[in-house]
Amino acid sequence: MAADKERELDFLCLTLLELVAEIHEKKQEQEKCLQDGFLCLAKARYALGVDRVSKLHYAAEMTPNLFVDCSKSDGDHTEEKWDILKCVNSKFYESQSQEPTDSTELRRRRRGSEPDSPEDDDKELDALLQEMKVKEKPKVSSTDPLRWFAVLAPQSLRQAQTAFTKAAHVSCEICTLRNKLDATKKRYADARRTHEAALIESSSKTTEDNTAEPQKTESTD
Amino acid sequence: MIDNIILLITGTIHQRQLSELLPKCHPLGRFDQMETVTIASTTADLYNAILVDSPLAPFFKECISEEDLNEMNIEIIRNTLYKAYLEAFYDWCKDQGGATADVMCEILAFEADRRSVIITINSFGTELSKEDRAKLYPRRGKLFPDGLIELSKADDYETVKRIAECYADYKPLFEGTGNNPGDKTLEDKFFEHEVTLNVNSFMQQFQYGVFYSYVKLKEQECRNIIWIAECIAQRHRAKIDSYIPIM
Repeated sequence: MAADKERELDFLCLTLLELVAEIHEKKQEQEKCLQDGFLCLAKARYALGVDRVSKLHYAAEMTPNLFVDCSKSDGDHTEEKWDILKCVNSKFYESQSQEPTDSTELRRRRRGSEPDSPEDDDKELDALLQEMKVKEKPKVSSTDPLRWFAVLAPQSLRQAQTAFTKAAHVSCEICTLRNKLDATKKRYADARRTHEAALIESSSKTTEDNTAEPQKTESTD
Repeated sequence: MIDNIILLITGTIHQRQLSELLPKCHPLGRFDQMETVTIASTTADLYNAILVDSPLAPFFKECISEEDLNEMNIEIIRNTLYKAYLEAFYDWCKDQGGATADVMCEILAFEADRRSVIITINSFGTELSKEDRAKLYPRRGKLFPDGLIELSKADDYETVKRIAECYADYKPLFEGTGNNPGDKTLEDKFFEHEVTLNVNSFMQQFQYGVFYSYVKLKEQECRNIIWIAECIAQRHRAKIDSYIPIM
């Protein structure tokens, strides 16, 4: 029993060390991605000019294209997994955020019954095009941030975008690992507490047995 | 002037205040009623209301349409205006004749060819069609007309490289370029060649090209200083020496 506990403690200790090493590696990867991204931005400014890559080319308030999803995995120990999910269409995401809708309806373009005839199809298509035109009127930029700076973007700007996107994904991996680390630390602390309590109990039992035995031998004498 | 108009339109689309945009405009490119550019919603409005009385009016004829000002159209306007300006400038320098024409036409021909190559490479993977791309090529320079026809059909970087290698001046520019961290990019090679041409313009006397070259070399100096500042800010001291030296 004690040996099993000790084996469990060893296993959890090794897991902790592996997780710490993995987190360290991911953080270095994240730092490298960010460094590469900022360097590529500097190269883009060099090629295009400082005024072409500046804050004046994006809106002060933005609609996100990516959002972070945190799901809990079921198992013996609940751990959170962090993922980056892409919005299908930020316009529809925006328009539906004001209405109480299910998340499953986020991707549905139209509600209501299916059209019965081709004429109805045309009318629906016209209506949809009108709707999209209306939605396009307020001059919100394209969802690809690259287009804010230049439609004919240089390679350095595209590389910067790739690097920053990768950094975002690596950040999610780090969060998942940190979560795993916290859960493992907790398990280790619990296991250690249980093991120590068991050790104390068994040692006090041994002491009692030892003090009881000499009294027994005296009585037989 | 072209950059100022594009900056104002782009800033307005992204809901930036005029007070933020105006200080960023180049002082040499200011013109009367420049601030009113922000009220235009189509290129036709832009021309009819504002630019018709500006020095850019002659260059704007190819850009007029009723389409809304979105990112793609703005990019097309920028490149179309620049194409028209470059062609007019080249023709004017050629009319001057003499050493000015010798110096300036070589510099502007290279500028036209550079723009054609860069537009082609940067358009890969975008929704700009080959026909629209071909309309943005300045029709001056060594690549005009055969090289531009081939460029308009190109689908990848290797094809562009193969076309440029047919011209002795441009073949060395494509050698040794790459996107790896230690490599020089094609833009760097173009900047180096531009610096060489501008420095060489001072070898001839009594010609107007020296003024243009002086301004261009000053712009390169500014780019170098900004690059060094970025390297210091980002702690990439090893990359500080990647600027393009003048002389």
